[in-house]
Amino acid sequence: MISTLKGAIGAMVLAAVLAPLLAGGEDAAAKSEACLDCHDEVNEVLTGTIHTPAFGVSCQSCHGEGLAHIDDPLPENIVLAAGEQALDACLSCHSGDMPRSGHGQDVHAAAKVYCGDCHQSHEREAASFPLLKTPQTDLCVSCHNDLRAMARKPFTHKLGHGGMECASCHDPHGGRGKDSLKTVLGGGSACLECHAELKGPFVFEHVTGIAGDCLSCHEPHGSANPRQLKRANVRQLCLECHSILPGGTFGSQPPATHDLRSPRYRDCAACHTAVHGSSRSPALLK
Amino acid sequence: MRKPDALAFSLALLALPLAAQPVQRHQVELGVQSQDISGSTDVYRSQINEDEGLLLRGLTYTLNRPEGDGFLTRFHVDAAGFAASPNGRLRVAADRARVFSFRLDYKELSHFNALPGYPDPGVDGEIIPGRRAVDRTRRFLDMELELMPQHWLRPLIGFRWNDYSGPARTTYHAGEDEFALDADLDETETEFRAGFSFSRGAFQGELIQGWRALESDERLTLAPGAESGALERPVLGVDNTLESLERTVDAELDAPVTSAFVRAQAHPRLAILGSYIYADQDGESVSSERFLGSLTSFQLRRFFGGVDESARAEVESPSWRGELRAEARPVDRLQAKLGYVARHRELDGRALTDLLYLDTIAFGGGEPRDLSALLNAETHMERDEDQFEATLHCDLGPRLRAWTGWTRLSQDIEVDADLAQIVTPGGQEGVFEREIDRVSAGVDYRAGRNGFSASWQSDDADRAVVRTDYLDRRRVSMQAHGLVRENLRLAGRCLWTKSDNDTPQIVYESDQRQLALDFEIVGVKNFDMRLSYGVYEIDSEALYLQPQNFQFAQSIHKETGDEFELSLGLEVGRCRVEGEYASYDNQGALSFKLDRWKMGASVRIAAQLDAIVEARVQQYEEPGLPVADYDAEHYAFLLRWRR
Repeated sequence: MISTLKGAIGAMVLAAVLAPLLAGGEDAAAKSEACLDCHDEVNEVLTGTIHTPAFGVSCQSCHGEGLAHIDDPLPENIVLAAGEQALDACLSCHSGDMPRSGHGQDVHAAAKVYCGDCHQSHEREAASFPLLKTPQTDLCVSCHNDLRAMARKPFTHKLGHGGMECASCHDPHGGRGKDSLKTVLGGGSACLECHAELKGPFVFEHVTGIAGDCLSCHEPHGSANPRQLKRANVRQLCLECHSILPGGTFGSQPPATHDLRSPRYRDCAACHTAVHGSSRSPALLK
Repeated sequence: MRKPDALAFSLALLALPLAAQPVQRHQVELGVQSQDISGSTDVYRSQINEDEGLLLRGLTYTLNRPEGDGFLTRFHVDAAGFAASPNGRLRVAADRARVFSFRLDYKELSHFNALPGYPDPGVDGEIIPGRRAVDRTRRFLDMELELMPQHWLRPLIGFRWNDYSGPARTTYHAGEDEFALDADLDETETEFRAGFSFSRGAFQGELIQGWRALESDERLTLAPGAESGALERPVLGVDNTLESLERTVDAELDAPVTSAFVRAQAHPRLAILGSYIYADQDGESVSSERFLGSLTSFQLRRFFGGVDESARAEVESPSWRGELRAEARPVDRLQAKLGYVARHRELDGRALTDLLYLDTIAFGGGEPRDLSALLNAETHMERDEDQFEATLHCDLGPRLRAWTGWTRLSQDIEVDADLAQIVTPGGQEGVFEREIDRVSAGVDYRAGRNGFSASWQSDDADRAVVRTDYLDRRRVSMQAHGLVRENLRLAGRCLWTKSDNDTPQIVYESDQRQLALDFEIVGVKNFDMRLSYGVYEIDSEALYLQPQNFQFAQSIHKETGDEFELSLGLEVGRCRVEGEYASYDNQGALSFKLDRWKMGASVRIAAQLDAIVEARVQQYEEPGLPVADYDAEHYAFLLRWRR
């Protein structure tokens, strides 16, 4: 692993060294100078953001030329964009980010939720990366507050401890998957970004990738049941699918040797341990 | 502490720019935590898994300076949750204006699970704690370097590393008994990617080529003390026991991946988007297993003394996804979207398993011999999905938007024999087709900090592929938030989903209801308060066939969860006091009560330094399984230094 990591870092360093030979641009500092003469407090709060002349962003980039405001410094004489108008101002620079994130699936914008509802262009709190108004999970549940209760269930992804947050799986600017879910580079579900060992492919696969996905059995936002399952009893989860076959449904009936009155057969996963797929056992025993 | 390496890593990274440049802005929240756990430590760790000792709750550092003053124009680090926390994260952003943009994301996620009720009860109805347990850590690193970030053409290279390793305890069916095994897994996934994104005139897009590789190495051995198995009675007069077991599984996977996306603004009122992903997964695994003991096999109708097995498996699975979408705004207030998405996945698997049953003896006695069995499996599956969708958004004024949509999803699954023969060999193959029509509509209203949204969705499917697939599904959701008075913010959200499949012998029905209400005091200097209440209810029923007598029975799952939270914060002079109480009371298939209290205070002891004390209590009670109850207390002292 160390050698591959060294290789990756080496390639990045080489690319970073060569990049200045190709780069170019204009200086925005002069443009902002007149504004910052009066608004020196803005200069203070902007520090730490990319919304500074150093990154080619002048005050005029978002607030317009402001000549009328210089003559008469009233708020109405300057562009203070909000809502959809602010979306246009932000996308005048950040539209290039869209291919990397939203792929045009602007689910929030479609519901009239715009950049300024979550982000603040002038950073005030250092902890709000990337320029978020509040820590990310708090921000999401301020609207999606039903998920706060879900996250309070005993079996969850442990949000709020620093490792995972809503954007670990969802792309708030629109992901390729359902419900703005991110996908791995190969197009698989967001779950597989972390749970790579379950990605397969396996010679003998279970439901994922055939007739269902992880959500066929699991509750990603939090569950009252162990292992974030949809049912409290494992056998219930299995037998609801693996029962009779009317009308050509996919699955099978359990064999008559499995007497559910005996406790040993009440938890299918005690023997069928490789429930996510196996390359050795057709019955997913190992 | 589980993560000293990561902590050192984050601190070292922080020290780099500190040594060379003046700090522009930083905040560190660092301290110590103690804990007192009574009751089931296993359940506590499965649910919460905090630790005691050093705790890095938060760290941010930001450096920003004029172009040309140094190598980096901007450097940002934030980290949280390292050391006495179940999860930790470190993010680094380093930019040199117009030259490069570097992002690093490192996560450590501890994964512990050892529940007395899962997968128990055991063979004889007894709870066997820890029979299936996992105590592993996932380390995840993602780095990406984008060159010339303000240029129209931006090359990028990236690297991802995902390591999952550690011990586990699992169960294994050998002979006619279940034995506990100790497992040790070391699995690493790496991915290199290179490509570029562009934004030139009317065109934006990206093209990325990735190479993913997975290496997995798992070793399993018989757990100490597990020789006699879980079954305490003999089978046909023979005690099923194991003397030893050793299994190794080595797996490798390679997958080149291509991803492309392009958006063309063909006209000020028309955008065309297209994307394509192709992945070609190619894997193989080699495994061996040998165990010795005294065992019974109903399948062989013989007693046997062990197994010597070797297996080799190969699997190929190409998949692709293509998408074409048009977004048009024929008039100012109207937006129409038309889309088509096609997905394809196929899988070809081959497994050759050579099994040797050692020292077998017929149930009737005599004929001692070794028996050989060969499993030569070939599996094949193809899955195709086509999805058409159309949506229409109409602005009914500057604040109100109404929308409606239609989607048709067609699934076509073809499975050859062998695949997914989970329980009974044979009878799995076939062609399964399903078509789902979805109609939806909604409104969104926004006026400053006030908003309201409502949506309705109806799905109708022509048939089910698996038994829990719905034929009809209805979803209704409503959400409202806003300031009802100057300082009182209300937010509410309710969702209702009803799914059913009335096919005789399935009769599946699921009814899920959620409600959440928030009351918040906002904008009051030195005081904040939030009161939240949430309800989660689910009623689900389905018929299933009892395997022992082929009689129908009803599978019923019910949950009624009430969640309540109250949090208060008050600032007086240099002190801030915070308090929080939360409870989750669940009735139904798995009843439990979870109570959480938190009290904390911070005092400004110097201009840039706060001292924080904190106490938290978490209590979990499961009336049906008192052995799962726990009571966890945490006390922390931290210093917050900011500048």
